[in-house]
Amino acid sequence: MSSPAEGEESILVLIPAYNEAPRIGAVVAGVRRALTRAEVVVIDDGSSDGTARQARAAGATVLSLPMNLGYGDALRTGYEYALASGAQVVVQLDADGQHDPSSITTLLDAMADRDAGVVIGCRFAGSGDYRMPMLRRIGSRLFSAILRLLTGRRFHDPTSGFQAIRRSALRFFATDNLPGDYPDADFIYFLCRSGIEVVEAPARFEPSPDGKRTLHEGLLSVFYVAKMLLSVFLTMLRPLPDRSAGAEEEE
Amino acid sequence: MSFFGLESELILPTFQQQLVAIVFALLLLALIIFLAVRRVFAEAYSMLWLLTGLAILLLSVYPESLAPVSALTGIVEASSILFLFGIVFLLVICLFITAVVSQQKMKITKLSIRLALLENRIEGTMEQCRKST
Repeated sequence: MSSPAEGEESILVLIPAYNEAPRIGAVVAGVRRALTRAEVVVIDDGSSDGTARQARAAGATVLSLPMNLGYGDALRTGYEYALASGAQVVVQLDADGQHDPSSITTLLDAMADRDAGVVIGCRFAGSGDYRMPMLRRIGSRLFSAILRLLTGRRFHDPTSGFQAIRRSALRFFATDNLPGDYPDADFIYFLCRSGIEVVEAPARFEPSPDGKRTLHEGLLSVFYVAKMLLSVFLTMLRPLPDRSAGAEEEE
Repeated sequence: MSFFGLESELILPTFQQQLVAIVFALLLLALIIFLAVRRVFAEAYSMLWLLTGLAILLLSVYPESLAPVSALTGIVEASSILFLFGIVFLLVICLFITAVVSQQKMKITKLSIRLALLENRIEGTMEQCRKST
């Protein structure tokens, strides 16, 4: 890792990974090529296939969880690390190679240009060959419609995990507000309610690797949609977090 | 009424019984939502309890929907069928919670072992530092 030069924002790239040994090395290498000044942190979510070893060999810092906690909790581990390490911007992407690291700069540019707290990489505006599976497409449109109803804003790709987060928004992520399994539309809604500026930027996506089971298939997708609807409903009822909490630390 | 070729002689609850059941179901739903909002339990469990609350409410409002179950089981009292459902549900919940508690115990054991090993490693490193200075 090369340290950021004076005046440059320190960037930390988080990659939560569970049994991604065959792919993690290439993803870490891709990120290091695209963003030479960033620290790459892989959160090994209790893998049993040597993911941590491969990530270290590729030059990443590895945080190894003693057991599989789930995507959201793995990310939260990374957010806590980022807060402690003083990172100014956090970028998160998936370990399976779906998110093209060359799009990170687009996300960071959008963050600077639009003074956003969170930038979501949007697959529909990208130039990749990505075709979303039908069930996922339906879920994505449903959540997009719900978010539009609740926030008055249009999010084309609310299920995207490819995101850039500014430090001022990061403290909202490293709390119990972050769903432990899959933070998606519910968390975007929470951020909007909390006054965080959330925007989308085009990003290049690749198809899911063959044989990889995702939440957006079969019965799991039904459970996912039901859980997400409930989560959005509960977010509506919850009191807003105190925006001033932790602000002293930022200053 | 006849279901699956079997006759149902379901005895519906009185208005008073139905009212008590509806009030109970609504209170239960309100309590579940209150606890879920306060994050007393995780959302996956909230969903299970909300579905249960909604099922109780629906059966309280439309007890005649128990007629097929009555025809299949031969139980004629709607309230008895609800009791049966309740007991079966509680047994399943007990089984589920036992599984969750067992998994949590295994995880705590694993964490405790890892913590002990890490403490040992830190103490060893500190001891080495002390000796070298």
